[in-house]
Amino acid sequence: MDTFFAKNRLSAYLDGALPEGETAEVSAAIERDPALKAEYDQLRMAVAALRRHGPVSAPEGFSARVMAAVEAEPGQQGVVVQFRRFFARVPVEALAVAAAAVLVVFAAGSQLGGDSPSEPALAKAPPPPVATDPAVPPVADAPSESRPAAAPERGETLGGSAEQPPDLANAAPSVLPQQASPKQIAMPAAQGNAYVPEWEGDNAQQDTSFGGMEGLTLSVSDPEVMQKLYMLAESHGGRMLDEANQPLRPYELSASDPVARVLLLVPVDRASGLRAQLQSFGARAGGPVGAGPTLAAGNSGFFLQLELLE
Amino acid sequence: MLLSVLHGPADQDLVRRVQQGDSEAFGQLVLRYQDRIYTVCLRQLGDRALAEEVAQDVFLSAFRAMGNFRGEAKVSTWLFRIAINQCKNQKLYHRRRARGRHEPLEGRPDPDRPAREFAHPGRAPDAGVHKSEAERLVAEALEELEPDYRSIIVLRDVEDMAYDDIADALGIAKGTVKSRLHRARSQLARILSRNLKPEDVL
Repeated sequence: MDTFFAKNRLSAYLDGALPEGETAEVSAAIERDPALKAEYDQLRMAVAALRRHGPVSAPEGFSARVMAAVEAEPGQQGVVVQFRRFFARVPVEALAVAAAAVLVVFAAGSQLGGDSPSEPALAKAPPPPVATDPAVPPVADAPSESRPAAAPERGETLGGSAEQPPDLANAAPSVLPQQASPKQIAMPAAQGNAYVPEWEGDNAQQDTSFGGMEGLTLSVSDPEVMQKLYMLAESHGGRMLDEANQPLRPYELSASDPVARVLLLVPVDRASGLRAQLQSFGARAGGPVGAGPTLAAGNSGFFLQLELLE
Repeated sequence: MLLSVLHGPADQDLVRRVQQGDSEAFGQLVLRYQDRIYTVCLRQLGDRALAEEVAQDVFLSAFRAMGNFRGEAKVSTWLFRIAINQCKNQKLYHRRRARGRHEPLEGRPDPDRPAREFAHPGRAPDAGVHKSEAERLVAEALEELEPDYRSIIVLRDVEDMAYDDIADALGIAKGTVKSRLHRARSQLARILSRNLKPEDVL
C-alpha cells in the first residue's frame, strides 16, 4: 500500500472502520513512514481533543423551560388525543353517510369488475388503510364504537389514495424523495408540526377542507429567487417555510449551495393565483412532494425545489 | 427487561407514549438528550444563548412532529437531524441578517461576530468547562471549519455516532461520511496543531 493510499485511510483506520487487510497495510505504512505517522498522530490528537473537550451540559433549567413551552403547545395533549377529539366532534350522521357512500362506490366497483371476466372484482377494491402506521392511531383508540372506521375512510376520500402522508420528520433532508401524487393530502393525525389544524378553534366544525400539496421544480439563474418567492407568498396571504415546516428566512443560492427546498403555504382560495405566477416564472410540475411538509386545514402548499443554474 | 431497568424505557417506548398523549414521557426524552442536543447546537453555532434557544426549538419541533415519527430512524438520529437542520437555518438567517437584508431579531446575539462566547463564559452550568485553554482552542478550531465539516465531525467525534447514523442524520451516503470526515479531521488537525500539541490531549 503506497503512502497516498494509506493517507486517505487514516481517518477510517482511526475509527477501526477498515477491512482487516487494509488495517494491516495502513499499520505497516505508518510504521515505515515518519511523515505519515506524524499526520496520524495529529489526527489522533484532534479526535482526542474533541472527545475530551467537545461535550457540554445543557444550561440549568433547560428541560424545565422546554417542558413549559411544550405545555403551552396547542397539541400538548398528544396527537392521538387530538385525533380522538376530532372524530368526537364529527357528527355521527355525517360519518354514516360517508361510510354508506364508500360502500355504494365499492359495491358498484365490484359489480363492474364482476362484469369483466378478465378483471376480477378484487382488483377494484380500495387499497388497505394505513391504520398500522403509528402516525395514525389504531382504530380501536377511537372514543366511540360507532366511529372507528372513519379514520382510514377519511384519508381515502379526501386524498383519493391510501398512501401514507408525507413524513417530514423521518425524511432525510438532503435525499430527494420519491415522486408522489401532486395532490396528495395529509391526514389530520399526521399533522405533527406548528401548523396543525386547530380542532379547538371556532371553525372546528367547518374547517374540514384540506388543500393539496403540489410539487414543483424551479430552475433559475437568479440567486435571489428565494427572496422573491418569500414576497410572492406574502402577497398571496401566505408564508414560506422550510421542509421541516419552520419559517424560512430567504437566503441567496450560490454555486456551493445551489439547491433549496421551500414550501409556500397559502390559503386554498389563493392557490390558483400563486400557481399561475409560479408557472409564469418557469416552475414545472414534479418536485419533492413525497417527503415534504404536511398541510394545515384550509391551506394549499407548493413544495418547490429551487435549482440555481450555472 | 434488564436494559429497561438499567437505562429506563427505550426511546421507542417513550415515543409511543408521547404519541398517546403522555407529555411526561416527552420530558424523559428531553432529559435523556438535552446535553447532546445542546452540545450539537453549541458546537454548530458557537454561541451559547443562541444554542440554547435553538436546542429548545429542536425539542419543540420534535414534539410537534412526534405524530409523524414511525421509528424508521433511531430517535437520537432523528433529533440530531432536526438539530443540524435548525442550526443550518439559523446560520443562513444570521448570515443574511448580517448583510442588512432582514429585520432585526431581538435579543439574539450575532453568531458571526469573531469573539465567541467561549472566551466570555457567562452561564454557570458549563462555565467551568470553558475555563480550559484546550477547550477554547477546540471551540475556535471548530469555528474555522466549513459548516458541513463541522456537522460531521461533531456528530462523529463529539457525539460518537456510527457512520450509518451520521449518514442517516445528514442525508448523505456512508461513503460520503467517510471521505468528508477524513477531510474534516485533517483540516481540524492542521488548525489545532498550530497551538496544541499531542501531549496536551493524548
